[in-house]
Amino acid sequence: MVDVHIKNRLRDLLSASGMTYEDVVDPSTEVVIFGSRAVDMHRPDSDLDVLLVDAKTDRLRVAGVDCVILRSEELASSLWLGSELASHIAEYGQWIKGFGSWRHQVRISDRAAMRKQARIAGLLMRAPKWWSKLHPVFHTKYKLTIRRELQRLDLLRRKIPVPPTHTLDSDWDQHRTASDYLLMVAATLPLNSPAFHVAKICVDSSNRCLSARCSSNPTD
Amino acid sequence: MSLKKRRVNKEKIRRVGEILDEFLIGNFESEFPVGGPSEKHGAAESAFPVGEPLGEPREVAEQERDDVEKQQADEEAEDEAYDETKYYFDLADVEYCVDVAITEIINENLVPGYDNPQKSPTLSKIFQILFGEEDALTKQVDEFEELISGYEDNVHIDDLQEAHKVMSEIIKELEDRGGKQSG
Repeated sequence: MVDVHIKNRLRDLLSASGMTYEDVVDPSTEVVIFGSRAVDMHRPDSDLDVLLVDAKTDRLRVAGVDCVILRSEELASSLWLGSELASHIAEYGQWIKGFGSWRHQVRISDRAAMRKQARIAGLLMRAPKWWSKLHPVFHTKYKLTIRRELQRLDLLRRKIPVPPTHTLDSDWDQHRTASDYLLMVAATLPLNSPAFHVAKICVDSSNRCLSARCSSNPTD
Repeated sequence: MSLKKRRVNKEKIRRVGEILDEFLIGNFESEFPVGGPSEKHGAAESAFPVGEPLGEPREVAEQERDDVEKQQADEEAEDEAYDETKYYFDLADVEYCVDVAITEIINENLVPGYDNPQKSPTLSKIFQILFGEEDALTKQVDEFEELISGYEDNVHIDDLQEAHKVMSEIIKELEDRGGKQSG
């Protein structure tokens, strides 16, 4: 059962953007809330993450709402069923409408882990070139992003659905994720020495509680 | 949080445009194949002879040659279509380019309240502060950010090209609002 507060929040945010709840929810075959608000671990400024299936539009721009729109035929594809997002929604999603019969077929694919690996390698390999040109506030952003992505990669490789970002941060801040362990995950990536050095900076123990002080991304 | 438009002097507006031109457009053009004149196609086409070849009315042979050339061209086009690295670029490159430009804007204290930010701002946030949420420029920046947001950590060249175009328009508008510097 979806928390009435979540529904009301969606209603309010849509209304503030000149839409009605019925406009968006009625035509969709499934409406699912996911991310930190679905598990009630959000920050006050956290966006509301919403999956809409068969919505009447391809794109929905609503302040405070981060929308993913899919067609029902896409839900049956192996690409979707093996993805990080599908596994996250299947595990943590709150269905406002529909039942999500697809969620029982979700299996995290090797491709999902490979994509995450490529994402982290891309960030780390390019960091040495740009790092000195970035304001310290962006160093913080990238340190957080890379550390969180390493946590996600580790989970995806172990076929475990990635929890909301707040849970990752909480695991990190409370030492449930060890720096050395994350560094071992980083060591499996195709990195050169300067990039691995950046990885070390990102998972430095002294960065713990960084996540509590700032969020790198408004959607986190 | 609703961000209201603040009074920003013209000089600062012009400088934001200059920074975006130098650091964002500049880095985009050096990192990605965007922004150049679109003569590529034209040049390739003009390399082919135009019109009928003189004194050789061998229609059948020509038809066969045309067929072979067409098939080769199709195959080449197909090969090209499958070379994803030509069309997709790593999102990280784009993110760093944008953040370096924002860094310059912060370092020069051009945005009220963002001289020592505790949270990394987006370009959209900066424009919201400078011009307000409803300003056409802010909406153009939103469009720019949407174009560079990519899909599965990659950005397609068409989106980058379009983003380059949108940013060039934004810079032009900043130039107009900031008042062009003479000389």
